[in-house]
Amino acid sequence: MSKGLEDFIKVNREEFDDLEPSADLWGRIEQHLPPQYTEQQKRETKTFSLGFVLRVAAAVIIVMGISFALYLHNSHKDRVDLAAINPQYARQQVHYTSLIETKRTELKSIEKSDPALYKEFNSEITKMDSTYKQLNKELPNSPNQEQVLLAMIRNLEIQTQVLNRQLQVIEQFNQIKKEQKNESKDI
Amino acid sequence: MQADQNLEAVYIDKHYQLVVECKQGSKKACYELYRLYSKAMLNVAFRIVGNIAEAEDVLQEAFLDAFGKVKDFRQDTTFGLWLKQIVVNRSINLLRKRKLDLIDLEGEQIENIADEVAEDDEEVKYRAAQVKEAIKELPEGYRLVISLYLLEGYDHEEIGQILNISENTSRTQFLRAKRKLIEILNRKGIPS
Repeated sequence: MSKGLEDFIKVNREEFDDLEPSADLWGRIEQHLPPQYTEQQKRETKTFSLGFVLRVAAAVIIVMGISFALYLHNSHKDRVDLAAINPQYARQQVHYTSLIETKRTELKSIEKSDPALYKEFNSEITKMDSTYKQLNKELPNSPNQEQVLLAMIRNLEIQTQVLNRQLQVIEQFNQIKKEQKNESKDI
Repeated sequence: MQADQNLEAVYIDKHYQLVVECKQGSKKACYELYRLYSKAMLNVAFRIVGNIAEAEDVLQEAFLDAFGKVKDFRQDTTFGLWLKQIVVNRSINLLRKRKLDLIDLEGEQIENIADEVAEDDEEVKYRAAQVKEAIKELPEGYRLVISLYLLEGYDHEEIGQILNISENTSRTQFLRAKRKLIEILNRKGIPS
């Protein structure tokens, strides 16, 4: 069969595609695009932020790890060996701390019978204790550790004295109560 | 013709990346693909359905179809060929709905055409516009086969599959269509 026509079409193939789609055709297609395309921007930011979030999370974990390690390191350093500063003071510190602890528990026993009084007494001790804690915090970086330690022990000493006074007051108070009872009985 | 297509398929699709982006949901990539292929595909559809409004409808549906299932497109062929297949199938379906009896093609007797096709159009100076006009005048069945074979580059086996006819029928129909086409061209005063 003759090839003239076929060859002509082959050579001039492009001329046969002369129709142009109307300008609004894409608009019509766009309107009906499946949801994966209309939500495209959202999805892109989502996938982007997933990777981003992972990276941020990794960074945060690393930073937290480092700061935790630093914290451990520092707090280890912070625990000053009191005996190295002054063995006598160190012994006193231990002595007073345990004494205060016992007395504070003793004080606590009135919490139920006289909560107002307990609150007042306890707040005095707590105030002093916060000063002690402040000193303790300053101790590691202090240029004169012995001085600070001495101040701490003084603080503990005063705490003990105050506690003793408080307990005495309570005891006297109790005694008066008892006597009053006895007197009323006697009458 | 099939060689052409194979060649095209073997070559890496120069718009491969664009298709990948389209798969990932980029509307911009889809628009790029539309821009690249819409014109050619509109002409493909028009040659089959023979009507510009319907061709645009087919084009719209075909693109939406393609973008809807592009995720399943394995890219073992070019996007162009894949899309063209969708366009052709949708166009043919439209014709079927219009009740073009494609089965009629099968029904026609397969004559021995070999000795009837002695015309020599070798020297004819055609003009694309005239040929196009002449193709439009062909009966629908002829127009289909001529377009699919000469312009869309399908071979008779493929045309047989597309139109659901035998390869031989496609061959016969093509020869008849071509003879008719030359006849029309002659009638229009294009010297042969």
